[in-house]
Amino acid sequence: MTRASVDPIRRTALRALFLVLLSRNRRVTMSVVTAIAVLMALELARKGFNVASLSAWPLGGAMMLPLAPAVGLVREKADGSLRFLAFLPISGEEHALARALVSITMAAPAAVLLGFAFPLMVAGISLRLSIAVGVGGWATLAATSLLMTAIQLRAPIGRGAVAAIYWIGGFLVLVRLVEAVRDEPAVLAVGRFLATPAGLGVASLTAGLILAAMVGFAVRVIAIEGPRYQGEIAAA
Amino acid sequence: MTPTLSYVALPVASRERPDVTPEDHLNSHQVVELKDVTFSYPNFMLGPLTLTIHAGDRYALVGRNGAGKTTLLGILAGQRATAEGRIVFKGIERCFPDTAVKQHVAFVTSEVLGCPWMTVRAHFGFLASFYEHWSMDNANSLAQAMELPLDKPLQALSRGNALKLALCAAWGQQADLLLLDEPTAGLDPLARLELLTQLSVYLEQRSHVAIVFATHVLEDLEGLAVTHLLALREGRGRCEALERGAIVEDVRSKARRFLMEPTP
Repeated sequence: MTRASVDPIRRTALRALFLVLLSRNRRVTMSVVTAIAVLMALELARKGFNVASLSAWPLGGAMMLPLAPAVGLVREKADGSLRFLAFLPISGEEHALARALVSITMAAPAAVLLGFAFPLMVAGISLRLSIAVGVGGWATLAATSLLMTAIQLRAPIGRGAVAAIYWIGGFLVLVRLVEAVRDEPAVLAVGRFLATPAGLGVASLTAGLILAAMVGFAVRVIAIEGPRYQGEIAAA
Repeated sequence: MTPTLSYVALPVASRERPDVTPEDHLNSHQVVELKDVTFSYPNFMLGPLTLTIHAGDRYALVGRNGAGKTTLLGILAGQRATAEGRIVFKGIERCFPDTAVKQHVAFVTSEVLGCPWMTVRAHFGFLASFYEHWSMDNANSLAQAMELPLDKPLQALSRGNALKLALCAAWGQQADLLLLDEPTAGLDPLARLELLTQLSVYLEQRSHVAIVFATHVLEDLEGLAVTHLLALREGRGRCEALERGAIVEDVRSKARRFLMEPTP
């Protein structure tokens, strides 16, 4: 059986295995998140539902999922599958596309939950805004996931994970900082501006540019590094 | 060259290239040609290196650790982007890393190159979707002849079986160039013997396949009918053609002469 006799559907299915391969290593993380979700559902069923518990716990669990593609790269490096992928006749763009699809898929559950949880957490929110939050959250999580994947791909084993910890730490510090200054007059003024149509436009544009820059950088790094990865020790 | 050569069928990758000339077809027996190729890391530079590998050539690649052997194999495998120089693969100049080159080059090693959780059969099926000229019959028949268990996951394969897997995949891929990076490193004597026997049987039956065999153990080259010695020393290379059937002692003395002589 030569390649020519392999029908297109089968070939497409086999190529899809490339994506499965990229996500397969995430099964441990996914299992943990699924177990947490099941435990939470049982806990909620026992204690009764309330807005805070209904939204916060599953959402928190789901938001961990987009980290999985980046964390899984360490394993890909260790078990040799990343090196194997570099030998395959796949272009850098295909590498980047595959990684992007995995990141987008991993970010989807959190985006859906965010869309549902937002009206529960913030009273009087419109359906349109709720959908916008879900979509915006999806884009942000997917872009962050892809960026972390790119950093992990370029960094030696361990350093990328440390970088991810810094990112998470930085994000938490930023949240605390916003909480600390949110009642300051200047911040309130910015908040009022952002609530206007013009402010919303500026904020959306800025966020869009940041996300585009993140994705652009990540895609470039993955497209370059994916087809030439030869192992952690660059033996001459 | 005469335009009458233009009817010659081109490989798939070159049909889409308008820059292919009839001269390129004449050189088609050349698998790969490096011209003044350099590659540099911080504190290390490989080359400039000029080298032509023809179909059926058997290159022994020797040199100390850090001499640039793996880097050179990475370039030949279509993975490394070189800093300078020209690389012509099957008559067509390439910019590396190059997907078309990877179609024709196989990396053969005794470490498992694949997804550890896949069975051998699934691994072949996976590869079939990527290689233009993949032949499942070739891969399966060689696996059968080598008694490679098709339903075993890759992570359960011994190092000897891992080499068989790589050879079966190379045959399925119908590769023109095999790159071997110290395939016997870390093997016990029996496994090493089995591995080298399988390799020489494979090559005997596929005389058109070119190989580059990187090794520190020159005895590994026995039975491979080495045609060229390529010695690397601190990134500089020297290539010498050998008599057909050159004995290991001949290879050793030539390698020693280059590797031990004082630096100019």
